[in-house]
Amino acid sequence: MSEVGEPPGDEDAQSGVEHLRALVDWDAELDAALGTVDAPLDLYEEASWYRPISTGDIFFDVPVPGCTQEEHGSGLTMILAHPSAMREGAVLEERARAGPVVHDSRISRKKYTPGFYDLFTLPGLSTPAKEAGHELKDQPWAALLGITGTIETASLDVKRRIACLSPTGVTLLIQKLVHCDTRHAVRLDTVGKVMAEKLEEIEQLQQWNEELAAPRVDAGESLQTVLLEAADTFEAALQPLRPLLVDPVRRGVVWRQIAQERRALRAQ
Amino acid sequence: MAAELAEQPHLTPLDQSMRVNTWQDRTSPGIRDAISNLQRIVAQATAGMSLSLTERPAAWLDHLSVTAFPKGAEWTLKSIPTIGFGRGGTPDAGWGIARFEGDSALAGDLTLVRPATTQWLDANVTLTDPGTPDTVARWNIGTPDFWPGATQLIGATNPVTIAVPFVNTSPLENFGQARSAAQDARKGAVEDIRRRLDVAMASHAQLPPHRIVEYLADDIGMGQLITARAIGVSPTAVRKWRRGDATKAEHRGRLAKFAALASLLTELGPFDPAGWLDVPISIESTLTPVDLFVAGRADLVVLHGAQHASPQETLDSFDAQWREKYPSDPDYEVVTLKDGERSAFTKRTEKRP
Repeated sequence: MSEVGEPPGDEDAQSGVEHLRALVDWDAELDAALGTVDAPLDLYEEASWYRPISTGDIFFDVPVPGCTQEEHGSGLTMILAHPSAMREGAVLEERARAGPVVHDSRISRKKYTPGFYDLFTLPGLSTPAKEAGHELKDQPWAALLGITGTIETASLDVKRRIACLSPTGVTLLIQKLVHCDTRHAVRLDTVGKVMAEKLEEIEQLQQWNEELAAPRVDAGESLQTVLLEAADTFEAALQPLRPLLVDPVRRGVVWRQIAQERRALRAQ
Repeated sequence: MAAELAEQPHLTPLDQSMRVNTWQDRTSPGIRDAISNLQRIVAQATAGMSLSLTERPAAWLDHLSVTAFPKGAEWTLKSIPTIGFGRGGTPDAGWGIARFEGDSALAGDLTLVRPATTQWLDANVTLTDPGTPDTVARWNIGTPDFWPGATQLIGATNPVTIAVPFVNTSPLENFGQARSAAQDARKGAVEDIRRRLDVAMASHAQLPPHRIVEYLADDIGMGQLITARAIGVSPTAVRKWRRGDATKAEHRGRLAKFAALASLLTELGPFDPAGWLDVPISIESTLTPVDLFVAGRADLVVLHGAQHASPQETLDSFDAQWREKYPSDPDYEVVTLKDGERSAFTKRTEKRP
């Protein structure tokens, strides 16, 4: 028996397809062109305080201007800006594109649901939220891609972040967002290639934060202040090396150099 | 050191492959390749000794300078290359002039003067471990017509003889012999790469996971996203290992194997394996070296990284249907713009800024 918010046949592939065929906007060819994920939790990353704010992050209590009360009843907001568009180096741009996260009973709460081309479904969202220390009702969640707004990044507090998307999740999100905006499905690997170095840079900044910022926060300094300073020092170290990142086969040189800088600062 | 060299007979099959491939031509480019080969093999085999041969481009066969200098006291170049030149005879017949100047135990120059009419070249290098009377390695290069039984690097415990094609036989027969020898050599090289990966993996497997992750990230410069993809886990998992969390046994094994691959590539392969591993092998496919590793073909990655297999050979060995199964995007290519950001452009139809 299906639970509330569960489409008929969620456990059964054939019935699931039947359910989707009944939906107005389902298209087999388009579904084949857009990516999917088998294990829902592959969509998410740990929402550590030290993970840089980025595409796909979900926050609570961040209103999206222009959304109705119904659209924003949950109070959850997902960052929808492209990784290249929301940062100037390691520092966040002042504003970023975002969309509300809603409860939608048409989709599965446990599986990534195909179709629904103006939604990014978030199966199992309560699990990463719980790992981040937040209780979230276990129900079908999705980010609205067609109704978005611009938020002030200063309003984003990592302590109010309930989930982050993994590289897989971010790539799927951008692919679907591009389609929603343009009705054009770009191949997933091409989307991934465009973002690869940005996502790796976020990984490196998180490593930087964990080794250099976390001890200061543990010692009682302000989280926000320490993270801002860490972003500045990271950018100072990376900026002269950025031209090397253009060439994929030289990225190793950059990250080795950054590791040396990190060790040197840690030793201080 | 002798034992270390004895454990590395891998150099021989790898270089057999190269030799067979390059010695189809007995003219000067083929000989130049052979000399280049000698330089590389000896430098690698002695692991601490470098041997350089400097070519004089204008009249290289008439005047060749050989310099050998051991680094550190463990190794001694006991027998400096003896090189003979001649026509229809042996080096000992005295057709050529070989003169070594300097202390053979330390450093020196070997100057070779060869009559312009001679056609072949032969050189011997013998390396001896000063601690034992045993010959550790002996190397011979020669144009194929001079010494068909020429041997490559001979490890103390694993001598290998290669087939060198004769001249004045039919080109078709030459091709068949060369191809057969190349196939044998390649098989030996692949087996040896697997063995070396196992040895390196065993070494890394003794380290705690956080040390392996640190090695990959900080020493090799490997992005954690690539490491996560190679192991088949989330980036979060890799990050947790780095913080000291435990790993599952199968993940630990794969992590050690990936570190082994990185080590071997650093030694044999591309200049900077960290980035190279995530670059498509061919513009016709999305497959990267990491994808081949994930599919269990680290041996092909090493062979390709060491430039002993072309992209097409590598991918054909991986999956004959690679063009159909893993095609690159026919519509878009990703390019880097002037601002340093990357963008997807339609192929052929749009002019890049």
